Amino acid sequence: MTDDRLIIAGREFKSRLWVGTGKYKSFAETQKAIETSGADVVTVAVRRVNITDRSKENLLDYIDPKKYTILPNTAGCYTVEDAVRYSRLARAAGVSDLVKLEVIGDEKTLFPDTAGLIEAARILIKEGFIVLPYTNDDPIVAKKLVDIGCPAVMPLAAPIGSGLGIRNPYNLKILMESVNVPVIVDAGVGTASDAALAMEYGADAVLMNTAIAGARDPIAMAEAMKYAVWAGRLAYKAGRIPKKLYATASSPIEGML
Amino acid sequence: MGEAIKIQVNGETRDWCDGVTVADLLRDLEIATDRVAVEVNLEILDRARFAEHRLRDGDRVEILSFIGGGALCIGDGGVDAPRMGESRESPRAHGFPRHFLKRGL
Repeated sequence: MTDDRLIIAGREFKSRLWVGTGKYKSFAETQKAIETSGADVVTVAVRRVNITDRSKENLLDYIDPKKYTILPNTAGCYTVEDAVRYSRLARAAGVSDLVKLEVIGDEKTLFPDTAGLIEAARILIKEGFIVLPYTNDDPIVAKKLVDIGCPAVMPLAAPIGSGLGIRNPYNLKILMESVNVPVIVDAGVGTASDAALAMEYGADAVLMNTAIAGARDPIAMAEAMKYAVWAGRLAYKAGRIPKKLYATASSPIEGML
Repeated sequence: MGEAIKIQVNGETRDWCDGVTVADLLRDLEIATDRVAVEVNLEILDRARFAEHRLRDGDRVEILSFIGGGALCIGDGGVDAPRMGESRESPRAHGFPRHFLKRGL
């Protein structure tokens, strides 16, 4: 699997499992889980520095930006203006031009506002950002995002943090066939089989956070996800057998008494 | 040093000495300049200008950095968000039909 690299906008990624850094009990746990997962892309959020309590440690003391690709997101942004503002702040904070663009449409579902997403993506791409958009499992929107210059798309499997797994595998498959850029299934994964399935369908990578951080044993789940993504990728490349309604004997009839 | 001026930093108004630069402010607050973004009155300030940019009375400064996050993170309600079958309010408030919640999916 070592030569099976994922390339987005000229950047090479070793791991097809990308992970978020939210919801862990401690930075130490975050670090251990990420290390165990083998992921080389980690998402982070941009927030106000706590100016009253400076004893608080910094996440990047634990996640070395030299070792990992830091992918800032615009989580919590409900408008185009906010998403653009946070993206610019993330770039100013000095990691890279990469941004996982989220324009959230609704608090209850956290589904993306795809119209706002396209608008924000257009602005940011013009400013030189490498925009990886968190989008719906809508092939038409995905195509539009690619047309305006997104070098990859990140469709959801299910609502963020829901753990429901892939709710619409057929849409996701159509989406993957509709675009000629890497597809990273983002959000909704609940357990290892969900991640494996996403990869078997042909996803180029899977991004998750809650499925690992929220597991009873996050470190063990991080390991499970690592193997799930590998297994799914290998199975995809190996080419599965077609599904049939009736049996096909696998032992020969010849030579029977 | 000159007179005191009021500057709002991350939503909190404090007194600072007249002539204070962004670099001074960060030093006083013990915030390392790498990996932070600074906005002054909604305009992002280039890191290279931290040392020369003098703040004025009434300026609104935002200092931001990276924190743990996937899609929604701590403080945004992500952790407090109800799980299926254990809603904070009425199940309806979160859009799931009651029978759905009883079965717990």
